[in-house]
Amino acid sequence: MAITLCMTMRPRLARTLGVATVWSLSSAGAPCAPAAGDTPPAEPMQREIVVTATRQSDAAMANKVADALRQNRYIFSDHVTVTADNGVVTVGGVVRDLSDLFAILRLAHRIAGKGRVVNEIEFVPVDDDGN
Amino acid sequence: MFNVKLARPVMVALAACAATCTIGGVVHADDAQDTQALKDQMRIMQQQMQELQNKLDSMSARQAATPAAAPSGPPMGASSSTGTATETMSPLETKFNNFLRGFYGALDVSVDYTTKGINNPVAYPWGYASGAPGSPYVITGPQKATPYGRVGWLGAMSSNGSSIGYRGTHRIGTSDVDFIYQVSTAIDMVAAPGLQNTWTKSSNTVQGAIGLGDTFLGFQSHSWGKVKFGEMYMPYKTSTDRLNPFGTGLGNYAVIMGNTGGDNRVEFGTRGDDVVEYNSPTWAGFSFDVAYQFGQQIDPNSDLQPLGSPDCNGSNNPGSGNLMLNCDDGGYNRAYSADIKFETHGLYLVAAYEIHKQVNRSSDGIGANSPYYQYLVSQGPKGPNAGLLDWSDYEAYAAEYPGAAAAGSPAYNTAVDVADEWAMKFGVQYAFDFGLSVSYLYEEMHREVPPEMEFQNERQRNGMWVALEQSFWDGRDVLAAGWAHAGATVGDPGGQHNYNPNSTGDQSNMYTAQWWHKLDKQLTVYFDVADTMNDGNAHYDIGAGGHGIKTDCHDATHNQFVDYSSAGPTTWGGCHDLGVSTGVSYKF
Repeated sequence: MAITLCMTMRPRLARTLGVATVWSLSSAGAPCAPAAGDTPPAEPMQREIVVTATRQSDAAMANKVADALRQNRYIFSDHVTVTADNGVVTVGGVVRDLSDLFAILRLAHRIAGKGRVVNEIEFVPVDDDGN
Repeated sequence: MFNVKLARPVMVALAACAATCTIGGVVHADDAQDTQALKDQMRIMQQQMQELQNKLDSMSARQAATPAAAPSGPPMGASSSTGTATETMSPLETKFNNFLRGFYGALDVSVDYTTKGINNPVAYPWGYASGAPGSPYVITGPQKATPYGRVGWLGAMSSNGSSIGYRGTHRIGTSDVDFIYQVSTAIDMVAAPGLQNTWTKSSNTVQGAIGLGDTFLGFQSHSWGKVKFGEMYMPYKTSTDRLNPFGTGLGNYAVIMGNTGGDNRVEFGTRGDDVVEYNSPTWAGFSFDVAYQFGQQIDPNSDLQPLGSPDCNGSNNPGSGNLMLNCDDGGYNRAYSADIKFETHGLYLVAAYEIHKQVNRSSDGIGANSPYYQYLVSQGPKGPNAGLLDWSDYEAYAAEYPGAAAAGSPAYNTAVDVADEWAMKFGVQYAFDFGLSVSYLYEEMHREVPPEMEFQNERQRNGMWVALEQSFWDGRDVLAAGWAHAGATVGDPGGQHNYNPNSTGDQSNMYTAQWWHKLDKQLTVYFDVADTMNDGNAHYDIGAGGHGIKTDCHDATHNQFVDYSSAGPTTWGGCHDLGVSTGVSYKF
């Protein structure tokens, strides 16, 4: 997902300082609008420069979560898989320790952001019903 | 080493400066050609910055793949979609590594010190004043013997859920469908493998044999989910496993939850044979599972083992429950199980339902509690002490002596003691960011018998479970506490030796706490305590559903003991099971 960074410049300041004074964010493709509460420019805008940047790639995000799991000293994650799609991280595989499950979810939320983690881990407790 | 976290803001600032500097140079450009050239230049810069960012991400991933202080254990860990952990391996190494990755399991041994808490109960034989139900209860004889055997504190070693399994996937051609498989086996770490026929549990399954544990094959796809065929726990159990931190502990919530009659077996938490199960994908946090267990039962009263299985459906072998050679201690025909789950952020909501069809509870009826019992076993149609008792015997006897039927179990017949049993539960869990999880579960269990049979219906009640689990020091230590409550049952078959017919007190409370200390990713030591407080007619234990050795309410009686209130290993209601356990667990 691309983020468009809109810089609306006032010519006089831009000429003298080369610094943007008003910044706003909008989704890709959306038109850039003046920031709320901004005083209308005395002079008409002369230029609109659009700079786009891509969100951290899915592979990088998945790697980051997987690496964090590997590096943690107490989370056993040999049977855990991490994938990412469109910025949403999915953790899957098998976990046999409940505290590991919670720790994995906490860590994934911390890295990917709350609401951007899907838990498909199968929790298989080590128990014994004798059959 | 270049810090990526710092690099990003710096790059953004650089980009902004570059943009503004460039802008500063072009705001006076008048012609369209200059503007286009500027845009092209910006686009090139943007691409260069993105490439630089990608390189930094890659460097960061490689750096993280090599831990500064490698923990003990196999050289594997969580795998990501890009597989950075294996990118430096040869194809052969990768293949072997992937093969090893399929093995999983746990080894767990504990040392326990527990008591049954049935040291000094008093029991009398009882009967109806008129000889028929409805009349006052009367003591019909001298005080019965006190509990037999070592029923106080006892040390023990236990192998708790130790197992080894292998699981894997196989992509089918160029499709997006995988063939999946899993084979499990249970291991007894402290005793020789063999049939699980202990003093108070009779099962023909074999510890150490391949296939004891969730074992299945099936198919899965990211788009439509997973279908499995085999032997496995069903959704009713698995959907709430995460609400129960005490897997192998003495205080597993299955001591009470899903456990209709107390004792060792967990009726609504037992692994099913001949199961087909579907697991849905997750849609916006929602998912569901459904399962069907083939009954494979040719007896209309569910008296036999399912075709192809060593035990009755519901576990235990024929003969358990005081009746001989039949599956009349809860053997059932087919079963259905389902759950629906919702998970978002730290919140988990679950509802589950399971029904067992045609559950045979003859042992609750014409079992040890019936005056027929002694006659049929000792002098029945098949001869003295033939050890054979089945429905045809019972019905022949009841037909010959119809007036006697009411004396033992009123209006008793096969049509009313083979009935459906179902359970439903609702659970909620919230996991806080600071390591605390709070779980609550409410459960209802029913046995669909007509009113005249409710007097012996100990299978119908509600239950509740509350658990707290707190993780400390980056997950190194975990502390949990739980409380389970069993509500009153509709009836009571009086299956315990000291049954009090004048009391309906058969509720129970189980309290437990456990501490885990992780030595590393795979090795954990733990200490736990559990205490089950039973009302006078209740007989819930500690250890059911999770711990290897169960501490229950049976004494050491080992001759058949018939007094219309119990037989075989004598059960004492009101027992106060208490125990501590410490052990070590290794996962791989």
